[in-house]
Formats: sequence, C-alpha cells, structure tokens
Amino acid sequence: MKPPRGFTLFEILIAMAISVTLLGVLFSIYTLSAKSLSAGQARAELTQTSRSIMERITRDIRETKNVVSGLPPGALDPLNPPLEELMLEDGHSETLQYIRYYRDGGDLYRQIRQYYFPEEPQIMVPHNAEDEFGNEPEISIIENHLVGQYISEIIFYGQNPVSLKLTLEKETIIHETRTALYGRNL
Amino acid sequence: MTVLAIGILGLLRAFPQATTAERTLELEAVANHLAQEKMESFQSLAYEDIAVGMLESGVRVDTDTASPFFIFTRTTSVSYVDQNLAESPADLNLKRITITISWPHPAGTDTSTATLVTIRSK
Repeated sequence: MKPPRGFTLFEILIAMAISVTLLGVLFSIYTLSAKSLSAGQARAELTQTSRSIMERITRDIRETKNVVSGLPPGALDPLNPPLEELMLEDGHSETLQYIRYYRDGGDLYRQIRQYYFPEEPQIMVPHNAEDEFGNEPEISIIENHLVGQYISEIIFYGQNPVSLKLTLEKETIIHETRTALYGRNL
Repeated sequence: MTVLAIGILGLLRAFPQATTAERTLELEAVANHLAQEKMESFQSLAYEDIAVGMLESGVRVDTDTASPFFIFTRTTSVSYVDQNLAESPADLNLKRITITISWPHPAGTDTSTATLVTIRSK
C-alpha cells in the first residue's frame, strides 16, 4: 500500500492560522510605522516652523524703534490681556513703514504697510497721523508674506523685552514654545 | 520563526526610540527659546547692574503645573572673566552669563540640559 501523499486538513488549517497571524502582525507593524512616521514628521515640521517664526520676529523686534501695539506688561491680567497681533515700525528701512504680524486661521503673516494721505501719496506718514480735517491716512500694503502655518495661538506681551508665546498644532501633535525678545532701539 | 520573531521585536523597539529622539529634539528647541527668554532680560541691564554669582538655581520656568513649560527648570550664574575667558576673582570689565535649562529626558532615565552662554563687556 502506498503512503498517503499531500497534506491533511488539520495541517492545512494550522498553516493557514500561522499565515493569518503573521500577516496580522506585519499589518500592525506597517500601521504603527506609518503612524509613527507621520507623527515624527509633524513634530519635526512644527519645531522647525516655530524656530523660523521666532527668528523672523526676533530680527524685526531687535531693530525696531517703536512697538505700535499697546502690549500689556504681563500675560495673566484678564483686564489687559496679551495681544494676538503685533505692529511695529520697520527698523530695517529708511522709509517710514510698519511691520504687522497677524494670524489668519492657522497661517501667520508678516505684512509691511505704509501710511499716506491721498493729497501727497509719495510722503509716508506715521500710522496715527491726521490731516487738517482729522482724517486718518490711507494704508498701502507693500508686502504680505506667509511666515508660518499650523498656528493655533500666538500672543504678545511685555514692553521690552517683548514676550512671545507660540502654539502650533498639526494632526495630534501640539508644539508650544515661548521666548522674550529685546529691542535694541526701543 | 525565531529569526522572524527577533526581527519583528527589533523593529518594534525602534518605534519608541524614534519617538523619544524626536521629542528630545523638540524639547531642546523649546529649552533654547526659554534660555533666550532669560538672556534677553540681561540685555536691558547695564553692565554694572548685572549681579555676579549664582542668581538662581533650579528655579521652575513656569510655576503653573498645567503649563507646558512646568517641566523646565533654570539655573543662572554670572561670573567675572579675563580676556582669555577664564574665571577671574576681580572685575576686569568682562562678565560671563550662563543660563542652563534642565528638563527630564523623555525616556525618563536622565535629565537633559541646554546651556546658553554670553559675554558682556563694560
């Protein structure tokens, strides 16, 4: 009598169970690695974005002669809360112009603006100037550049140094940082 | 099967390590900003007004336990230095300001530090 050839049903079932288990483990590892990669990329991106925003704002505050925004001395007074945008005189330029940092949704913009009266558009005037009839000057936007994304909060407080607290959020990752910036010409 | 199991276990161990490394880098960046925050407060002071000695040691950057900066502590010291930047007992018109921010390592084993040093002259 010839010995039986092939596999028994029990052997096939065992092999299938092992294969399914292995596939399950491999799929879990793949899912985990995809999640880990995504979180790692988000964390690195937020860290780098916060660093670049801080550096950009530092350069402007260092050189400015005048912080236009009326910043509160601290962050904790509910009657005088920190500001969500900052306007300062551009210390890099010979022309009288202002830099404004403001948030639009999750984006942070750096806007350069000049003020003038329609009668003399070539003459730049201070942001709070008034003509002889008490009219405010017109605003001309010179630049409006995106500085950073994923901003969930940015607040400014303190006169000199100016404190800045930044919160960035992407997917489930939250990155919060804080610093203070001293204006040499303030 | 054994080789496969060892491979899978090795792979699984890599994930927490990668996450820890990324978190460490993030905390270092925040610590540098917090050190800069303190350093900037010296910029507004005249040379004579910068006190010499250990100004603070292990002080919490933020006392609010809910704050993300609560884990960071700060040590600030100022010393006289000579022209070779070696410590000097006398005032030679140079001061070295050292700010160290410490925080628990994300792996929970150790303490990490970031140090910022600057020299102020008269």
